[in-house]
Amino acid sequence: MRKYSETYSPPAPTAIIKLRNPETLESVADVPMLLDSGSDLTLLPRRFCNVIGVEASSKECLELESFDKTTSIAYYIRLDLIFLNKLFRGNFLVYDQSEGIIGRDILNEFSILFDGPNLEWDEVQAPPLR
Amino acid sequence: MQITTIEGVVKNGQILLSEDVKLPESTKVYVLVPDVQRQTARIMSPRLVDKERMKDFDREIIEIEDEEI
Repeated sequence: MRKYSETYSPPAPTAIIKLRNPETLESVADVPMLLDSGSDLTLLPRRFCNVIGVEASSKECLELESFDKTTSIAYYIRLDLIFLNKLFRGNFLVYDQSEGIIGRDILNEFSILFDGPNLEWDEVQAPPLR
Repeated sequence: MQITTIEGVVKNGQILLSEDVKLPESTKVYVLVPDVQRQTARIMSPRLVDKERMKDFDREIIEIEDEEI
C-alpha cells in the first residue's frame, strides 16, 4: 500500500511517477503527482519535463476550467509517462507547479483502491478471467 | 523614443482603451499590467472546456515490468 500525503489537509493520495523523453530515452523519476479523480486530464509539472529535454509546444494549448469556474491555459507536450506497470506515450499537458495531477485519463486505466480510513491506496490486481 | 500612456481594460480578451484614441494601423504598442501577477495558482480538478479535445490525448499504452524502464 502507498501512504497518502500529509502535506494536504485532509491527507490525499499521491504518487511518484517517471517521465521519459521518447527520443533520447532520458528519464526523470520521483515526479510527485496528486491522484485527482475529479480531473479530466493529467497535468505535468513543467520543470521535470525540462530536465529530460522535452519542451512544451508554444502553440498547441487548450483551455481548462476549475471547479470554481476559473479558467487557465495549458500547453501540450509529448513524452512517455510511467505509472505503476504501464507506459503511456502521447500528448500530455504541462503547467507551472511543483506537483502534477494524475487525472481520469490515466486513472481509468487501473483498478485502484482508496483506503481512506487507513490513508493508503494501491492498485488492485484484477482477478483472473474464468 | 516618445512614449504616450493610454489607460485601458481587458474585456473578452481584447484591450479596450478608455480614451477616444485612434492609433495608426500597425502601430507598435507595449502593454504594462500593474498589480497583476502571472497566474500560476494551482488549478484544482481541471476539466476540459472543449470536450472534443479529449481525442488529442489518445495514447499508446504499453504494459511493462518494473525493471524495464
